[in-house]
Amino acid sequence: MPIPLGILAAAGVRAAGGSYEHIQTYNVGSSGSIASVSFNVASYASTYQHLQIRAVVSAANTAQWMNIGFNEVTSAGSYYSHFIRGTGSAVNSFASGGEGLGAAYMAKFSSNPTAAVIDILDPFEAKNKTVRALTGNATAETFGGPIMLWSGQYMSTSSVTSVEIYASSTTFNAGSRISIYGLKAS
Amino acid sequence: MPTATYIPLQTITLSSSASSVTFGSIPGSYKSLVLVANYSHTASDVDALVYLRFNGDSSNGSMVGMRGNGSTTASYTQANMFMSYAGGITTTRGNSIIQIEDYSATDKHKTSLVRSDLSNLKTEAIANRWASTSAVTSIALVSSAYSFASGSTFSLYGIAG
Repeated sequence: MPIPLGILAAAGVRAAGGSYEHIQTYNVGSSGSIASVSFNVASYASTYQHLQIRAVVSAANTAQWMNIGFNEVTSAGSYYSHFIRGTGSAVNSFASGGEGLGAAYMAKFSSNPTAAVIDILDPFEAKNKTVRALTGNATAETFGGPIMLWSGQYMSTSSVTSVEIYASSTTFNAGSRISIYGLKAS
Repeated sequence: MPTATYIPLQTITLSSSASSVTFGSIPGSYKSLVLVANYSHTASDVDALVYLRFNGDSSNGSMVGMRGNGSTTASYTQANMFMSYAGGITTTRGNSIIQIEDYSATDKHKTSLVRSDLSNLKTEAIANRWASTSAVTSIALVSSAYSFASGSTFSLYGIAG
């Protein structure tokens, strides 16, 4: 029976005992905002098959991306992605390649944050890493995707040792929360 | 130290049809809730939909959604929250998964993300907003027309964080 994996759960069955584990959470406190968080996952390569990020975030500036990166790699051409977004009036699709993966489009309302569920598949295997996500915020923005489905790829066969979540051209507001989970293989 | 989570809180399996399903007395000790629904309706109706309500509130919701039905796409907004909005309901079994993040927080509105797939009608994604800083203590799924059919299952899970 497959282990539920975020939005990809085919039947939503209960995860086998102990197979889905909370690893770490960053909470952005009231004392200030932060631009990025980094999860060190090098020690989990023999423990988990997949990773999942769950986040509730808002940004100091609206219409900015929450990006995901791996192993502190930010060189051009390291990542590629596609997404479908619904703006409330139109559905459109985009592709991008570059220095990071834009996972979620943030508004700047701390009281009305953007939610994101991001699946990182086989991060410790010797293959390019695939990432997929459902992200969204019900506040319509002038530009951007309040509801998005996206998939991305980190173009490296190296094992993932760190996962970076960062706010592009802005900072995460107080009240933002970013958590990482591990899923074991059967 | 990693801790096991993704805890089953309650499963509702309908032994007879019902126009709504409610999870109540939800503990506030988790960070996220996941509601997984596998269901069909007692009739097909292209205009019917399924509301999502927190704490019985039908006034403070809004959403942005998008769907594809095999020939067209559409995106829309509504002043309400939904588990399934566009395309209607069907007697054919479909599924929805609702992710509710920071559901027990009292310093923010509640954002939930939905994937709904009715294989003979549509695939749909929705971002809902409940404009309340109250903790979510109950979740109701309310069919606007007809009922969830007998045999439909709804499971609620809690995820620590």
